[in-house]
Amino acid sequence: MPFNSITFIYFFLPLSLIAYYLVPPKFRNTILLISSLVFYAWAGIAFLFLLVFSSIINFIFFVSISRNRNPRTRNKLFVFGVIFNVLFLFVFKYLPAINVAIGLSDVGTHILGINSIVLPLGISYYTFKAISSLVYINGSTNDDGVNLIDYLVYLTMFQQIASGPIDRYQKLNSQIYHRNPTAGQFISGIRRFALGLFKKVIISGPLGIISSQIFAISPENLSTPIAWLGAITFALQVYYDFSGYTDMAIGLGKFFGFEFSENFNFPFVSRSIKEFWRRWHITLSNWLRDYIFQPLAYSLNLKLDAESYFWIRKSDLIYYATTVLTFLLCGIWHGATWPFIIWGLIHGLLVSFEKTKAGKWVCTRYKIVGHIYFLFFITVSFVVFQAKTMDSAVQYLGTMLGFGSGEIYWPSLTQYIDRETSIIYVLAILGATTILDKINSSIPVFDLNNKRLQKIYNSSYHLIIYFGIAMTILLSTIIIISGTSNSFLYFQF
Amino acid sequence: MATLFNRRFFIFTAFIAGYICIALTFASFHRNYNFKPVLIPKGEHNKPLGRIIAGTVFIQEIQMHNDFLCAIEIELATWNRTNKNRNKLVILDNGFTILQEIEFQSDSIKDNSFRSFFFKKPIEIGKDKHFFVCLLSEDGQDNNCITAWTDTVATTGKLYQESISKLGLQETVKTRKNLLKGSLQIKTIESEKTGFIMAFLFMFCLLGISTVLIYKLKGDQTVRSIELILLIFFVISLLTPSLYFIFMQTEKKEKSNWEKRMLATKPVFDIRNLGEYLPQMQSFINDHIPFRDEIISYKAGFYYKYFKKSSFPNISVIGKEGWIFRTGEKDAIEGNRDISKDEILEIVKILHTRTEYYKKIGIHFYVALIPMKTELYKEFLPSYYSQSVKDNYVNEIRSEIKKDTLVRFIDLLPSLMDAKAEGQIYYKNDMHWTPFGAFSAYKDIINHIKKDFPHVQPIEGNQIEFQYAGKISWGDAIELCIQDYVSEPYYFIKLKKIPNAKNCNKKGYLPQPKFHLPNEYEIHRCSSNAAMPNIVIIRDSFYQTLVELTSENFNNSLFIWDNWEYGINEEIIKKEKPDIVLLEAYIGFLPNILKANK
Repeated sequence: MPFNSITFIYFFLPLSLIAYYLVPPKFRNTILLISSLVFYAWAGIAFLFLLVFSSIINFIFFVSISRNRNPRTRNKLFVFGVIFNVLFLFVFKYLPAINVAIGLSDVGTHILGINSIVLPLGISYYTFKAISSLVYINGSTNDDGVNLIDYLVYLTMFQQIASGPIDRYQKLNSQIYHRNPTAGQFISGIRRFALGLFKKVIISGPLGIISSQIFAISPENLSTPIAWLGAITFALQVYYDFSGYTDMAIGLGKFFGFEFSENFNFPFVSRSIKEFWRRWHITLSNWLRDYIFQPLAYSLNLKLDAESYFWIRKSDLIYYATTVLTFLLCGIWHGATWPFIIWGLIHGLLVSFEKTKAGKWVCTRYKIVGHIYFLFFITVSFVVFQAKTMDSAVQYLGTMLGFGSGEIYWPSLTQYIDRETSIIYVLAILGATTILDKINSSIPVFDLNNKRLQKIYNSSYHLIIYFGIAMTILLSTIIIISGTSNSFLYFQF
Repeated sequence: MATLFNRRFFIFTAFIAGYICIALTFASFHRNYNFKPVLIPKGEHNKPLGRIIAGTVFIQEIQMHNDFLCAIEIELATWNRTNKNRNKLVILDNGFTILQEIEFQSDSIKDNSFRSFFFKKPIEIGKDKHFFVCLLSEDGQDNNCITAWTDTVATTGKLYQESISKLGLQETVKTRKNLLKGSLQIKTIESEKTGFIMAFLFMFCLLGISTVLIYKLKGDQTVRSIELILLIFFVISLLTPSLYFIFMQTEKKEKSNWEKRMLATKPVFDIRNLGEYLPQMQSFINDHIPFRDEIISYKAGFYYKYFKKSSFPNISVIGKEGWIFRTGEKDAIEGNRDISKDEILEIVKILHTRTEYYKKIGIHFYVALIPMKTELYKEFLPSYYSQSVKDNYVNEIRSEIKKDTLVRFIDLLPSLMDAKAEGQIYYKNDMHWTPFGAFSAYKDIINHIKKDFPHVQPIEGNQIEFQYAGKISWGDAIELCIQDYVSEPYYFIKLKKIPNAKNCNKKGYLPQPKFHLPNEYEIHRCSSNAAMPNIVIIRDSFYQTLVELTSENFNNSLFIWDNWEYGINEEIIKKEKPDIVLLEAYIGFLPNILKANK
């Protein structure tokens, strides 16, 4: 049940909100947990059992670490906990894919009746959250005193379970114990939710149709301009889809009194891949930085003695190695297929390159060069990201670089860029930059002496925004409902 | 007692009283007509029900295109016309909403005449839906109405059964005929009471729950009063669909006529099948969300009006000057293949074997293939259509059939291409051909048959006329939900002389179980001219226009629409022993012959 579905917006959400606000505050976590489990059950009952199983095991590790005073035992429990999570992820996310790839039966997964092709919803997200909770409690000196319901709320909350943000335990635990949803927070949640809906339904939806149509064109018919259009469209689509979803999650969090972390900060204005990762899926990159990159770099630093290896300084070598490895893991985290692994590798290599003198020159000497470098490689890497096989990715990239066999027929662009989509492209490109933000902040805040005039001005400003929000909700509903039409699959006259 | 009358109590009471008032007002404005028609024998009840008087209008024929009512033919003989000027035919739904109004001059109508009325836009009809057909005079004095059921002609619907049982009548052919003739009158009972209570509950719950939700949010100093507008709007819009779904949509539609599919039914809750229940519930909600059809239709209309774009590009695309093309037809001539070379050869083999089979039993077998609209009107395809593609599977089918010298192949593409200069061959808003296109194809077909049967002569252009029947929006335009924005002239082919052939009793052949137009499966026409050959035509929707014309050329003409299977229909052929079998097929559907042959 995605956030942008009728069932979620008009049935699940109001029902959850009614139950949540009608019960006394001390039962709100229980209601939230029940809502989250119902939400998750929609993805599959078997998956729900997996989630509950993983959560309970993690809770046992969490409580055991929390109550144990012996540092060595705590460390051991922590290591076992992390191994459990890694194994859990491996068995239910990667093993089926590996089995399919090498033609084996679904070892370990068919017992639970889980389809090997469909992954348990949000498994990567809740596993990473579980690991972060274990890291927190291992480093904490307090007995946390957490109860099962609160812990399950942290791991399973429906706002975050499907696509994050991957909030650390230390950020959410105080909110889980005590939060006081206010009208102001709720209103700000409405704005955020509407923004997310706008991004996801109005922008990303049509872009998704275009990119999937273009990626479905057979290589012999694909021309270079169309290939570029497809790649750029896909990059925009992914951004609006994911950031829209995150906005909706943050908005939903606010409805229930939570403040989640931000996940995006205009990633396409970056001038380097490194900067991109500071602006894109921020909670994941921070997680990888804190739990993979830094410990790895630290341990390598301890193990390597010489000042330089192959004329490369030790610190640089450690940086290159850990960066490539971290991004490789980042690729694998996204999926157990070659394109994801290569995508991670490309990012690792590019970030390493940016550390070199040449890389620094490209990214920092001239703004425009940095932007072109970044946009070119990010578009290319997204082509790899979306591909099902490396062959198709290479073929597509070949067409982008002019090696395709498709005839260039410029009017064919009008199939994709018409009256409707040109508006969407303009909005998408503007929205991906900080231009709109700058315009908004540069609107003068009139300090009118006349209080009445000031009030009218403020009210009008708000009314315009509210009108936009109302229109967004209305338009999104229309588009979502239209999307439920599945007629004409095949009908003869 | 004193505590009872504190301030909080008063506020609470005031709120409840306010809700009740608003909910009552809403409910009284809301008129949820839930008509339960009851049949009353003529004469027993003759009181006017508003402007509706139980009537004497004889509905002669209802023309339906799929599940859309396109035209109605009415006998006006018994209509007591005192006003000879402007009159109206009005179609109302069971909520008395006017669906269609057609003005006509009564002077032009001769007594005892039948009059066809074509609708500006087709009316969507459901299985059990009924509507009123009213004739209204300018002064409102001679208004006559009758209820028509969508299944008056063929079957007995739930509504009909209910009426029969309520009256304690025997369900007989006579009862049904009487109903058709309007000699039974319809009294409608409004069950407004239930509607009123539900509307009241809906509004009361909406207001109550919204207030509680908003109240439960702790006050915030930073919240401006104007921001509460947003909060109230959001909470109300979030709650409205679900509450409306629960209280107001008590009777859910079973079928979507427009989408031509059954809508999801409400799943039965069973904890053991929770995994299946939840997605089924989601489908149910998706299919029955309030105002779904209206919203889809509105969006499609908006897209067409402002973006000149089809809202369903998987069905049809909008070309230049508003021409509508089936996406499959566009793809076909752009070189996309739905069928392999081997399958094409298999089709030719089937036609070859069939020709041999018929030859053996002394039957002449002809294959007439109808080209796609995109082949004749490429110039109106969207500008992104790549004209460079020359080879496509449609051409390949033709050239492979032509290679087989045994098969008597009538390729209609060249003759229609020639005729294109003289008139419009295909409709702009539909994939079918116009009567002019059909007539051109008819001449070509008969000229081919003439080679083997010289006495079969085609009817010439001067022997027929194309009778204008008004503007109509139909077919693809309806499927794209843009019928409000497009329409084009609709014509009939009419013989100038009195036709020789007439409808004969059906032979009783059974249609395929899945065929959704069972009444159209078999048409039998006889001209009682034993000198002429007998023909069996295996056809599809295209040949509908040519049924009357073709039957003029033959003694017995049997038209079989076999659910687009284009099968050999061995049993029928053996029984009928015709001289000629004509297979008329739209080229895009010819590959179905492979499935049928298996």
